[in-house]
Amino acid sequence: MFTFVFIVTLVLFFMASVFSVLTIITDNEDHEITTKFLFPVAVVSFIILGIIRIFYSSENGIDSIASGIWGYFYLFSFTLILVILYLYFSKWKKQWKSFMIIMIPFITFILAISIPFINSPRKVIIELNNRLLENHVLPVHIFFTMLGELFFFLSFVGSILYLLMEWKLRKKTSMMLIYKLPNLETIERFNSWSIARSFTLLTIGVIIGMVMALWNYQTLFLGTAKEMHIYFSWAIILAIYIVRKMKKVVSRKVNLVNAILFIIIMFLFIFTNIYITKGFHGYK
Amino acid sequence: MKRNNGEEGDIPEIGLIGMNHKTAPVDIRERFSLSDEKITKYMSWLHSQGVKESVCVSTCNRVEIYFASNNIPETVEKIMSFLEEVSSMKREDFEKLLYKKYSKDAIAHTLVVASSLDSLVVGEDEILGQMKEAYRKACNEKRTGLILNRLFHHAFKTAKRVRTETEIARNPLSVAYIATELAMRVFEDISKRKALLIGAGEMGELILKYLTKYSISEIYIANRSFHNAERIADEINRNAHIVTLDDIKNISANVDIIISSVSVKNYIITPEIGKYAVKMKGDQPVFMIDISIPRSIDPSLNNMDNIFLYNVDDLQSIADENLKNRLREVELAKILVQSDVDDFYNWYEGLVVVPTIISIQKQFEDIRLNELSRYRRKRLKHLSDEDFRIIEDLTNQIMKKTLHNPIMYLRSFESKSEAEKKAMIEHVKIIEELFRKRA
Repeated sequence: MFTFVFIVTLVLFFMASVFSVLTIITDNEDHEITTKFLFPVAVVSFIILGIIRIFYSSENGIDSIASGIWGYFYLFSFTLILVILYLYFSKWKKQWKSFMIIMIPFITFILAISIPFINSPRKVIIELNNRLLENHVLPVHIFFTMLGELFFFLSFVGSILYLLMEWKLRKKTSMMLIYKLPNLETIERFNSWSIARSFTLLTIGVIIGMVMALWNYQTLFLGTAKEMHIYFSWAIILAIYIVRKMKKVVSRKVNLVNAILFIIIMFLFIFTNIYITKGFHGYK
Repeated sequence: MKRNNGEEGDIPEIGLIGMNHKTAPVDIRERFSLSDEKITKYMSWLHSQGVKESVCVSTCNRVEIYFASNNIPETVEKIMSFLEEVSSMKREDFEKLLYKKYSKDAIAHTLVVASSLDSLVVGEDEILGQMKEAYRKACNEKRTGLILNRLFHHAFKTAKRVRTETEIARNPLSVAYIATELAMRVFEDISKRKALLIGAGEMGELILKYLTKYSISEIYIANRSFHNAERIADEINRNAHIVTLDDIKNISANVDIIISSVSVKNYIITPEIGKYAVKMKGDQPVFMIDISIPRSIDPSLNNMDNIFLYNVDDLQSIADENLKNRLREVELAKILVQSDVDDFYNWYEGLVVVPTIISIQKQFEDIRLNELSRYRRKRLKHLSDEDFRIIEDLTNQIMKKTLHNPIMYLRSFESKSEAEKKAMIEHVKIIEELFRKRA
């Protein structure tokens, strides 16, 4: 049952990805209609998948989502879906179609790389006697940190769109794609907006984390991999934020660096979570 | 069945007579060109001749007279006489250049023309405006009725559908317009941008006109001749700043769009000026259009960050590509138009049952009113007005409910298949016979 729904969900997301890309590169209105139909259907299937995992599969229980290695990918995709919905109701609704061409394939990618871990018995390592786990502020710290990372993801989406649009404008052949993407300044405004929020939210998350460490362990830095990762992300986001604020470096370069650094961070984030088994959100 | 028996209350037939850029050369078309005054005069005359509905569309590419008439041969004859008079040509000299379309062909033609599929530049939006204007004038003169009102509204709706559901009108073909559109793909809000026009070339002026339409905030005009620069400023924007060619370096650091249409031996915008402009503007893009031959902006600037440079060939190749895209969309547009033609034709065909419906309703109503009046005078004269009104309402309701099913059956005509329609026409004949007034 679970495997069947998983395959259906993945196929639906894959099809939604293909059609969302086609809405931009072809002139067929049907592709947009198909995407608008397929994406909600894929989301519904995705939610059913989570329900089956929690209540009906052999790996059942809320734990299978909250601490299982596959659940980690599920929650990550779920948050990305929430971001897509948020954008639809935000001031960026006009540009929503353009964001979808990157965000839906990205979710499909995350679901695809979760395949080897569907039946993995590995669970997240929770250090015994970790006093931070008993701290009531912990959910607030996680919330702000996750939001900070998600806004960084949005700036990645914007950077890819910028590079795509700039490439098309320089290629000077057809206006087909050019018409369907937001103009360069709008994309840049979106990127600055996302990175500013990413920096602010991550800073709040980091400060809360530091205060929690200080409160429980009388030190600001415990030297764990997750701390190093978050400081690394924070430093990169800060650097991008400053460069964008200064407006001294050309946009193409800033966006290129933004996209590359996000991929590096995501790579580290996903793969260290899976393969580092101690001190980070590791899995055994 | 009542259509085209020439009787009052019959459903008129749709027709049109016209010529366009495909059927007649310009020297002939201009002889048939109709001024507003002539159109008003003609429509009034045609109306007095019994043609209740007519609309005349006269543009540089076409002259078309749309009509709805109960007597097609007579109406055509009248229009031909009118065209002879207008053009001062003999009928045999221009008749072969005309097209005459009736019924479904006329409906299809109206929708095709409004959707700009029959235009010289496919997808242009001018024809829709011209048709709307012609229709508006006909309405004002009270020269339209049920058929043409519905036909033109349907055509406008189809045209809108074609524009929104296909890409036919999305890709511009004018080089000046493409340049403006490209600028708008770089900048979010043109009204906050500044432009510099170098030279007084016609194309540059046109691009600047387009930019002015989008309320560009400031304009600088640099030209060798102060007089020409002043003329452009007068035409486009009186607040434009007129500068000399020597000021270009300084001004370029202050503007976002540079349009060059000056004829010079050496590049007037060099990489040095480009670098300076980009440096002074920080991380802001500069959009450059070089429409001069020989080129006046160094092409190597195109490789510089934050500079987007387009020359005439770039713009022309986009225009060519856009034209190909438009033509590709024509097939899709034709499918949309055909489906709308079928919708309209179904409605139009359904009108054949309208006289029958009206006739049945009228007969029932006459009977009801006669009987009520008779009873009021004799057996119901003791009733108060209020009570009698209740009886009136009662009989009205009984009549409506009795007729509801037969009328719904007749009204379902337009949604039937061809075979069902044929069978239904026989039924309608029987119904007409049943309710025919006999002496």
